[in-house]
Amino acid sequence: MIVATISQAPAPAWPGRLRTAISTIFTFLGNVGLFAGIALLLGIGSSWYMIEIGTPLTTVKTGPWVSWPAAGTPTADPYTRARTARHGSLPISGTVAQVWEARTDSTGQRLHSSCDYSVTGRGLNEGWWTIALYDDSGHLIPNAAGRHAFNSSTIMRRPDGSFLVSLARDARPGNWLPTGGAGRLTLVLTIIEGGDVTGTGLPEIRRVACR
Amino acid sequence: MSYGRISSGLGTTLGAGLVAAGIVHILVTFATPQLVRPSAFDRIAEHLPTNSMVVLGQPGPDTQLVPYQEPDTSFAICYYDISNGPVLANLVLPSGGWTLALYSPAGDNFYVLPGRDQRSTAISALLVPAGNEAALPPVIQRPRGAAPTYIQVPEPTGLLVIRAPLRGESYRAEVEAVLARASCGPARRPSNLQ
Repeated sequence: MIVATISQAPAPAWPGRLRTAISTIFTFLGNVGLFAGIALLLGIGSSWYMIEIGTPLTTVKTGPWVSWPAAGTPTADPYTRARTARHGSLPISGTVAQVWEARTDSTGQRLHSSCDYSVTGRGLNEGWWTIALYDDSGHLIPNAAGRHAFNSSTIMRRPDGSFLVSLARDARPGNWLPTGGAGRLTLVLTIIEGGDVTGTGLPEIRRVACR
Repeated sequence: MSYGRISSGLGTTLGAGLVAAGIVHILVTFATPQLVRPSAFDRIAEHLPTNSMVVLGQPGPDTQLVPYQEPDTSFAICYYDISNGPVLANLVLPSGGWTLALYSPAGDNFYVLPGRDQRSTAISALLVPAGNEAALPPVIQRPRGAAPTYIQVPEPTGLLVIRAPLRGESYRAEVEAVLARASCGPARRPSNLQ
């Protein structure tokens, strides 16, 4: 006579089942959180970086100056197009104009109205150009002198052909652009039909002093 | 739960997260121009009559229409609408630094013409719809002068912008007089001119 015995695994005790269920739920929630975190942070962050900072794919950089050559053109890449829309500006096509923006000085420090800067340049002898100062949002900075820009006709040059523009809160001799209390600053150099300036043609921005 | 299952699940989550991040990146990038309102076009167009040249002059902190508007430039802008027929613009670019630029509602500068140093450029531009050459109107002759240049515009509405560099205060009156002579309006049929 053969006696078969069927043995069953003992059912886990309730605390064990509960622990497994809680562990599964937390693992699931952790995975969902990780998935959403990666998707949103990396997706939005990388898009923001490509739109606001740019890469060599979409920008040309020379020292502190950055240009988006495709801005305004119908064939602009999606990042340049998104940037133009975000800024709400109406750029002139890169086929006739070069627009260079500087948000930092030549050492990479953010331009700010609490500091004074000297912008020195030479060359820029071709075409029409203008160097204008804005706040961080692209608005002109109110000031009693009504000064917001100098251009190739109004700039005072030194005898050697170079020029110096002073960015400062208080009046300076020569080419002074008031910074007021604007906070972060943006300097924009626009050149119409001025030839290639990517070599040494762009001005140097040096921090003089901060309060 | 074994270490292998955990690492496999984590890898799957990371991989799926990276793929989703790519999708979010593309969506955000392409959606930004549609989501940002008002656009530069909206901000300018709401201040202007249709098919009429308006001299806006030099922008200042209180009169700036769009961010990063060039402060030592005087502007004349026509908000054109060719839904009811072509629009004719007459203007002069007296020297270098002056530009004529046409923008679509999306802000695309689809046509630009710079002025030339020491050479005045008179422009008569007839704005017509793009894409259907057969439907172009017959060349409209002005009573005096050459036939206008056809400019095909991608959408019925847009902006025609003249930028005039201000080389100093003493030039302001002269510059604004040139801008004031610029015109923009519905083109008349040839029969009206005969």
